[in-house]
Amino acid sequence: MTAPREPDAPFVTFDLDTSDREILHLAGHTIEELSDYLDAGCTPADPTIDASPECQIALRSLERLRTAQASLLSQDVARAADRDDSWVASILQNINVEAHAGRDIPFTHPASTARLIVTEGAVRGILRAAGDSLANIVVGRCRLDGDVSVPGDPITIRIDAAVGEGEDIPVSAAVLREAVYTALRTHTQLNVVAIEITIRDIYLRQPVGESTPSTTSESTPSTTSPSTTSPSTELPSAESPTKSSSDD
Amino acid sequence: MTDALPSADHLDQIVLAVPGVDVLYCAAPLATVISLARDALANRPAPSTSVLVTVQNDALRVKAKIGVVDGYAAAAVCRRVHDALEDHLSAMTRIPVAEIAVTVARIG
Repeated sequence: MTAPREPDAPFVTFDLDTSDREILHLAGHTIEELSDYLDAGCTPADPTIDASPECQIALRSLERLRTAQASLLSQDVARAADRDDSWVASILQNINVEAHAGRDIPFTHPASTARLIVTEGAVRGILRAAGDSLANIVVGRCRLDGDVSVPGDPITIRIDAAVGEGEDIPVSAAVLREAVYTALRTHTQLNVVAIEITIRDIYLRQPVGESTPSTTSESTPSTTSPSTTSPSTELPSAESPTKSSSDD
Repeated sequence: MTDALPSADHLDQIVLAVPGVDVLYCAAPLATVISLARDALANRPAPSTSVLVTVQNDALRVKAKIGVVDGYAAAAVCRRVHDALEDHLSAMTRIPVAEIAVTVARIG
């Protein structure tokens, strides 16, 4: 048995566009500062963090990511040669970008005085939470494509994720899609016409009962394709998501 | 019923009493928030209310920014917050209400 590998393998490297790169802070804090705050048990309390919904969304995502890290052996079985970021850094970038309030997504109300909205950041937060709540799935990135500010406008959800080694990718994609759709139906009035899930990477799971990874690269052949896209699942109505035939 | 502005303090309590609301964020514009943070750093007392009440063209505009706890539908909670504020305002003041804006800024 060779030495255990550290969880340093590249994960999902997303190409952030320029506008994304310009977004560096959440309520004046970097994602690193929020991570430090979490390390310190959120003490002493920082009101500029505690009173910021964006920071709270990011902190919750960071907490879930740490839980996932603890249960995953981050051996990227088919990493691309040009990926030089760590997978954690990639997800941190996305958490940072996605936690921003973003666009206003309206709720309808019969009263003329009502202006009710949920922020895009809050919705991205529930999408990430829905995915992270599933065993052996780590969400990399969430996007809402379409004009979310216009009620009824067709919206496509795009999610990048990684799954644990040995998982059935089509089944995992279907489970993730169902969880995401349920969350959207519960909390928004978005007209979701498709949920496109791309499984970018596969991770080896840490053996149960072992505090350090013991699976070696030699014992685990790198045979899995690094990126499998589950094509958009067309949702014929707002009532129920359907499974993509390509998942089965 | 009066012509006085409704108490923002009381409006905070009304919003926080709506089932599903677990936190009330400051609804003031960013510049005001920065000013409040500066006050906090300088140990100056800052207003403790979060619901923002303004008057424009002799009509009230109310803003609230909330977090919704797990297990509640954000849209329903948002509507209930609006309705609670509207009920209170219509009972407490003669000033017409132009807008009640409720933003769900975090879920779960």
